[in-house]
Amino acid sequence: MPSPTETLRFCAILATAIFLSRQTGNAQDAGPGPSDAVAPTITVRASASDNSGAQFLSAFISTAMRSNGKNLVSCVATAVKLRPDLAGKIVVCSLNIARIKAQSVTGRVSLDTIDQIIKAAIAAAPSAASAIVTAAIESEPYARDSIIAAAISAAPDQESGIRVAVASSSSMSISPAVIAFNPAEAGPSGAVNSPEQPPSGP
Amino acid sequence: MSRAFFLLGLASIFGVSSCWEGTTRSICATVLSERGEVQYSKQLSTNSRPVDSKTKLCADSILKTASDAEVDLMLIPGALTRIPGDSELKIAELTLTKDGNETGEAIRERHARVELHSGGMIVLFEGFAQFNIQTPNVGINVLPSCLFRIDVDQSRTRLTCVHGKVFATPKAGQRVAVEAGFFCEWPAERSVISVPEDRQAQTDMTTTLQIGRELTDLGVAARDRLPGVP
Repeated sequence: MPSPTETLRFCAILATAIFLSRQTGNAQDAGPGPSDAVAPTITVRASASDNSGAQFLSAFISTAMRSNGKNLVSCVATAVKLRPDLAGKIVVCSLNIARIKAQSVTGRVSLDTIDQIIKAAIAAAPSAASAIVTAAIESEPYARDSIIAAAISAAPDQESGIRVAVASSSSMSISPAVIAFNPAEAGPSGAVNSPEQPPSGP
Repeated sequence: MSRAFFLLGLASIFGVSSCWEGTTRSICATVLSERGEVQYSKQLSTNSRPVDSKTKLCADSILKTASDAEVDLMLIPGALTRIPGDSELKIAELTLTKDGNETGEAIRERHARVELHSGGMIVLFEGFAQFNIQTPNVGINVLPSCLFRIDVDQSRTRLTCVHGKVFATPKAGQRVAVEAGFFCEWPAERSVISVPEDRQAQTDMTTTLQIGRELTDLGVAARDRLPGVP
């Protein structure tokens, strides 16, 4: 289990590597060498191609998988700050990581964890708030209200944009209207086959 | 008199020793979901039968998926796996050892051994068990709390670890530990390689994480299901 300082070091290495790769545009080879010992550092080879997004995400997943709690949240913030264009994917990946690491009986990420991730991501890139909220709700529909509340508290000036994004997104969350079931609406109109009939008169 | 005590003592020893060790039983894998054409057969049988949600895949079952098919399995409690298309998996051994005298934590040991002949396998493993996967070229020892992917084709075996740590022992070569964020390929040119260095590994990592999440959901749903109710 890496210590908090070690995990923060991973984040710093991740950030530095990506920053340098963007500046120089040169390929770097950073393999772990012939030894069986696996170095705990993640470096990202520079690429200006479409592959850079997948490369960034895989580097983020590698780092975030070794992080817990606040360190995971700080890694999310670092990654979103560096690549706001991938903010939605980064948040979904981090929620998936949190879910797998949590091993909860319900199979859900705790609302507290979701709250922290959303707030950190939006604080890092307020302009990507709508994308973050949409992606997070799609990933964790049961936490829709918490996600919206966390997003608005992190970026109050983006509230209208967040509301519009939430309204336009086709969320799969189960709303009370979906749960409510009226047999009279579902069955054939006016033809209830039952010995119990409504009273005929007033 | 002493002879009677001796016989009584002997009988007590037999009585106690008969309850001493747990009983080991073979179990069957549970099908969590399936899509497309998935078939299974017994090792000695030539008859293939389609897999559905009620199918129990016991030891010596050989599972085959068509190119556009996939199947999700719970091999033993905590060991969830997805078998993608064009794969062949043999379930070699699934056993539970239970202490019949215990009313609480009675499970003493879980053992899962499978053989991946071709294709792929995504594994999410939580809990405790001895879990081994054998491929034509590499033997894999799975440690608890890990998520990884194995791909086997005619010439190569590739292992990509997303979470936790996995030990792999190639037929020719040294045992290798593959940690989260690294992959290894056999025959090996290099030992373990960082995922961001390889385009295929990058894609594998992202998709495996998503599949891990789906397996988690299926595992929870299976746990909530009543026994015998599909």
